[in-house]
Amino acid sequence: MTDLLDPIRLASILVMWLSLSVHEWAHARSAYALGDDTAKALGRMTLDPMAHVDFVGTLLLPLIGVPFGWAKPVPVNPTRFRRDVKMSFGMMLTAAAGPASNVVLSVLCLGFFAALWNVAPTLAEGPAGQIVAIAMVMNLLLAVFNMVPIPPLDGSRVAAHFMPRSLLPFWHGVERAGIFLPFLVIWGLRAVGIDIFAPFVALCYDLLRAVIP
Amino acid sequence: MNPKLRTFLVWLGVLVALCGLGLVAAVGGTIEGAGSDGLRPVLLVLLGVVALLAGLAWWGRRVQSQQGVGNLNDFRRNKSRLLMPDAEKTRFTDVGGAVEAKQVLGDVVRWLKDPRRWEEAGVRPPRGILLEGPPGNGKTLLARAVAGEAGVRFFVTSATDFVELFVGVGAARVRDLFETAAKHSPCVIFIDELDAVGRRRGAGVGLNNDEREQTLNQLLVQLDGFERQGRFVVLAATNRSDVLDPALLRPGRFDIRVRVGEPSEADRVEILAVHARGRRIEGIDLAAVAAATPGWTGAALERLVNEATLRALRRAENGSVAVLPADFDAALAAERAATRHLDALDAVLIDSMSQVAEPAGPARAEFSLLDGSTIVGGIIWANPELIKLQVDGEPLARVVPRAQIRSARVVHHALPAAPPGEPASSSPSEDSA
Repeated sequence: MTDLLDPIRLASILVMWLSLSVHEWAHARSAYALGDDTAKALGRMTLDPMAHVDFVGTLLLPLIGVPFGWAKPVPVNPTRFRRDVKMSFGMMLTAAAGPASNVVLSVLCLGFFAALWNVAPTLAEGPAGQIVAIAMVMNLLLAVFNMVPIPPLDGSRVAAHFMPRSLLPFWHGVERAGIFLPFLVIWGLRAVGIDIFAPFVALCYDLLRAVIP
Repeated sequence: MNPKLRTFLVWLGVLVALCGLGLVAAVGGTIEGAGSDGLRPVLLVLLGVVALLAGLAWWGRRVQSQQGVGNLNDFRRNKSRLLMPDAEKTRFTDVGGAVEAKQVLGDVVRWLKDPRRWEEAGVRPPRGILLEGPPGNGKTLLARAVAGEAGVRFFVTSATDFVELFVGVGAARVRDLFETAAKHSPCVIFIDELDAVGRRRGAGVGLNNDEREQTLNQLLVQLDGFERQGRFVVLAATNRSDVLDPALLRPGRFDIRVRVGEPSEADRVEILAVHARGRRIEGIDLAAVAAATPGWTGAALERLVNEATLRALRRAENGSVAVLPADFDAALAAERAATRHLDALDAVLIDSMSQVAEPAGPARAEFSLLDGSTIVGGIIWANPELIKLQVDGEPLARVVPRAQIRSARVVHHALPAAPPGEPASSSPSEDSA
């Protein structure tokens, strides 16, 4: 894993790049469906990974050997939603669309993995199967991570919908704290022995094993 | 390149790269099995990276807060809307009349599409074009048509967007607009209602003009093109070009001034034809309608056609809606009824203004009243119900309700004869007769 040019590692970066593109596209597309064309006007309503590249998150980090990253967030303007959609509900839908797209991708990858094992077991045993499996796990974890209800992750927007109004200013204040807050919380939980990813990783393994004939 | 094609190619490329990496991995033989143990290190690293990530984010935040920008940045963003090249469907053919404006703007469109001819000929690229003229004559429509014709990116903003409570924000927004435009060139910037910021400096009372003046100064600097890069042109529209700061209009800034005036009769025929498009209009002589509507703006003509169509729709209930001459006549009559008393007042005002040129006195009329008497006098003032008269031989002016007037005849009238097709409603007496 320390080898920067390990082909599987490079492959997983590419997979992540594609997954993040689908994720951001899902945000933009759902916002557009609800009437907000901000993202479309900015040219973000596309599956084109180039449109979603974030210099640090998508290029720099992977190049210096970090198999993780993020894409440019898609802006959503709830005041441009159609009038028959409540703004907070619309925000929830658009926020949830991203992780949902990753879940869908994950399921698709699982199906592809199963098909691969049934059609060409030799391929599936090799790197091809490994890449598909990585794609499946990565997408599920992306969804899980993004649904953590801590600003500024997508999950916080979903949570905001179910929150009393009086709490919202505080919630948006927390959003200013930046991207490191969720990592802090996730790590804090890990330090006291709660790993929110662990059950999902285990689930992935179970699923992957289950489809291998 | 077509964005869809590009998306496809990027995905194809990435997938091919994936296959290639898989092959390399297979040949290299450094692959652990596809089993679960092979994945664990990936996940470990994935989580371990979080440290670096958090550190980076923290660092980025600190730098930002040191610079003291943070959320103020959003404020300085220009609010202009970006029209994508294919979003605007308006064409020059959708604009009736305005031949000269179309000619000038057509040059600009050709320059945007292909600047080489201009360069070869040694013509300086256009910088600012000011569309001026009374409201409702299609300035904004022309700008949209430029967007549609040029097929380049189009930034639409209103000068009022630059006006904000906080000092300096307007200037920052102007800068942001031009920077964005330079980034997206070739493109067109359209600033509507330019007079909101472009007012003559130093004319107002009080000190709170600083913000507007700063905004204007920034606009002047940007128009100068000292920092100008990229191929773009600024269009602006105003109906108050008289109050604009002279510095805005000097050569090198808004040096092309296009007057979008009231349409001529031929223009009105064209405008009516544009609005008749897509509507089933039967047996109507548009030329006659145009002749009957002197001085009407494009917007008024649009409303006329719309009103006539609405009447046709009302009549048709269900089935296809066909607009007949009767609908047009009714719409015209309704329009006249709505404006007749204004016309009457106008006529009086015009008459009293003509006093200056012609010392013959104000508009004079002979009224025969319901009580049988007849009075002759100058009209001082009129509204839909009342007319104020200076009756000959009476020391004081008299207010006469129109309801009491049986008939009236203008004795002295400085107006030229009413144009053909237009009933003589411009005479103040007509309406009470």
